[in-house]
Amino acid sequence: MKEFALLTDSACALNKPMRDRFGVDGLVYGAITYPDGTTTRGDLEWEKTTPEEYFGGMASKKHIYKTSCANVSEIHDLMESFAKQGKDILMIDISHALSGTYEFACVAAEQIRKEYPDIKVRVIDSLRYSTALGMLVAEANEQRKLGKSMEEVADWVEENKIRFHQMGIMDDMFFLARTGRVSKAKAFFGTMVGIEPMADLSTSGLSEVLGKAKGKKNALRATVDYVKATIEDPKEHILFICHSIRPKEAEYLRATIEAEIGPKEIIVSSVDQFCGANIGPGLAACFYYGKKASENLEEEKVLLGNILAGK
Amino acid sequence: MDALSLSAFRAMIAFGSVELENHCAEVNDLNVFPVPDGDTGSNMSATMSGGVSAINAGKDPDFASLGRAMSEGMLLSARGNSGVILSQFFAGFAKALPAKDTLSIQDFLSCMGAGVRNAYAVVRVPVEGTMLTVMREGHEKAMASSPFKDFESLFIILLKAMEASLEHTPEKLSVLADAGVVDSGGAGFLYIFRGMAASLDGKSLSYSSSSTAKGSNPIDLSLFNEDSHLDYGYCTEFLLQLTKEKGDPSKFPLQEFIDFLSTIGDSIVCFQNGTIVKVHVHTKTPDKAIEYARRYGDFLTFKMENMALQHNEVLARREEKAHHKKGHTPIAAIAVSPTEEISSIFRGYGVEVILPSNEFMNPGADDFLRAFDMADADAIFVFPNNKNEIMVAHQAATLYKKSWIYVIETLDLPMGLAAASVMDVADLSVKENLRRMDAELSKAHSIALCVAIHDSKNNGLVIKEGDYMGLLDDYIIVAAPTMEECFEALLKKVEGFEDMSVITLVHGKGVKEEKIEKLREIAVGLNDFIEVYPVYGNQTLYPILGVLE
Repeated sequence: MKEFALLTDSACALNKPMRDRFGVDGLVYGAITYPDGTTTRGDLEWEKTTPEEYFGGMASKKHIYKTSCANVSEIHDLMESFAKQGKDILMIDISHALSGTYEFACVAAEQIRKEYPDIKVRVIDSLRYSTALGMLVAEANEQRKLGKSMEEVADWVEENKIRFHQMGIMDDMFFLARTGRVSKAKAFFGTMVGIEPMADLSTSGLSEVLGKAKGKKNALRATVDYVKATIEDPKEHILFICHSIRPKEAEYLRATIEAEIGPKEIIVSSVDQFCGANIGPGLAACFYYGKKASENLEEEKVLLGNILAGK
Repeated sequence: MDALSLSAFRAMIAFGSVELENHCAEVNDLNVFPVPDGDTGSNMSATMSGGVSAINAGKDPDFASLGRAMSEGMLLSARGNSGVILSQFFAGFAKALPAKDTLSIQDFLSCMGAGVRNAYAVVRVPVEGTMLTVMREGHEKAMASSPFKDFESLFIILLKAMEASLEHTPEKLSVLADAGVVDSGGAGFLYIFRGMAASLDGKSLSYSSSSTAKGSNPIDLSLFNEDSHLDYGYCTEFLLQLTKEKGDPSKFPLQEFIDFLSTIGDSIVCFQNGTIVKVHVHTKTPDKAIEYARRYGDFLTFKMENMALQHNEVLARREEKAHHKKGHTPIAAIAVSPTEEISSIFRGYGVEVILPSNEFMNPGADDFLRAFDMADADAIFVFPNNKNEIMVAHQAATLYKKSWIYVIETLDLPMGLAAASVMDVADLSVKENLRRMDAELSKAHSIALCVAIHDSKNNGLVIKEGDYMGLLDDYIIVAAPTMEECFEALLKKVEGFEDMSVITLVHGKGVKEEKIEKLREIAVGLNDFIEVYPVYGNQTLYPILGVLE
């Protein structure tokens, strides 16, 4: 079976040890522009700053970081390095609704196909971001380990990408709303005092608020119940918990899910800088493999509504 | 006088309005127990003014027509519980007015009876010892003593009966007795009738210059400075004494004057009684109004304010600016809010139109109607956030035909916040929203802390001036010398507090962060599961307002 390279972008939120573990052969980095105007390539290893500093600065809404995705030539060069080795390429990117990476990757793929006619290239819009994207890539690697071809794995990813869920709490929708990364812009994305909006990832690649819980504890409890109701084969898949400076909430989720669901493994990590710039502090969410998301998340809305109403 | 002409009746209503206005502060003060939100006088005054303005132009050919105009004017201007009941009294009165140009004593008594019945009908649970009792007992006594040879005799009996009735209101309503006051609404009603009686004497209107009828709004001078441009003009009010040296006062062209005022400004109130003309107008060229007026007389009183400084104007304009871009939506929500900070909380929950209120002025039916227009939706949720405003909102809702209006009966601000917090106008149907808000209102509790402004007794509690009073669901249940002690005592009395999970604490002007921290510690000390969400409301009346759930 022809070897193929598994590529992604920095929105996958996987640091080096995790990338090695999950078979990520390469990735492109976006850039972050800081409030003082400097732009650097973002880092997934948190070498230059800490989550507390990074997200702490955003908490007062004073620091607004801007992100820009990798450009076509950067993606082309990454692909080329594998094409030259005679490997097919499968690239899984952050949701097209959240970033331009996917579109650029498609353009780069076209170029590679012309330059290297023997190399097959597939680019997939994950419709996901952060650890959900990272998990998807990790699962693609599992499929690869089963001996499947690039096309077979790509097909699997396309078929199952909407099985990758997010659920958790979000203190403040300000940053997501500010950059248009929440579906159905509602009139009230200010701070809803005492309210935790709870969002999953929709079939169109955006975070969609499914319901509102009163208070953090109710929201965290509802999160666990929602995960329980939507997760599939927990013993066979890793569950990720990602947070932006909310360690206590993340720990609650970890301990409760461990006790009540018992997945194969739970990995707790910080939201990465790229996604974090558009999420802000206050996220503590589970990313996991589950049922396929329904159209417009209609079923999930009803489910969460029932959970919050105590039914 | 054994029959009233149209102009005599107009004078009667104007006199009644002025007499009330002259005693407005006193009536407000009667309404000061148990919390100083006394606005009965101001509310009733606003209602009367609306009626007077509507009939002063003198165009109605008969009493029935005049009645309709007066009634509509009062219904629209009605504010607060007392204002609404008063407007309903006059609405009932007006409906019974005959289509003739004179009113007999018999007619007057029939109309008064109709007014009393209408006022009782509008209150869901009529309480004796209030304005309702005073108007009813006055009318009953007059009926029992009729026939009368003239209006003067009728009013003597009416006033005597109403005074006696008012004096006995504390016997009927224990909360009045505890405070040592008579009912404020009843007192206001009596002043109106005293004024009406005075009009029969041929006396001229006398305005008390010390009346603080509308209360004073806070003024921020920095709102208009050296870089400003006059956008809004001046709120101009004066009493013009028509003088013989300048012309014949009886020939003063009132309608022409009103027409002229409408060419230089708006929000015009202008009526004449005898040789005095009262004027209120918003204009950028007050000099033109002054010049015109001085052709006919000279001023008794004159008041002018740059409207950029008037607090309410500022709030109202801010609301209009923020919301003029709202397009038509299936559902929208309106909330009555006392501060910009609390309005932000409401907006955070999805409320798009805010009706400003403060200690001195509450929104009237006409304000609600304007808000309904701004809301621009098929279905509109209204959060009145005050038990008096609920009635006004219902009144406005009956007058509005363009949308379905749902008045969510939020008795106070915390309940308004609680209901709004579970609302979702973007994703849920009207039915589901109503169901959720209803469920929330049944389970959430409102709390409030405020400072006692005089000694009193309530529900067996002895309250000293300066104590903090703790209210649970609008009932005073504790009192203590400090805020912390009061808060702790209050939470301890809440049944099931140990099972609650969230407190939203809205802290007012002057309440420091450290204090809120202490309150949070107290709450967590009693229930370590509870989450406290503090938010700054900048309100003045209650230092602490909260939702418990």
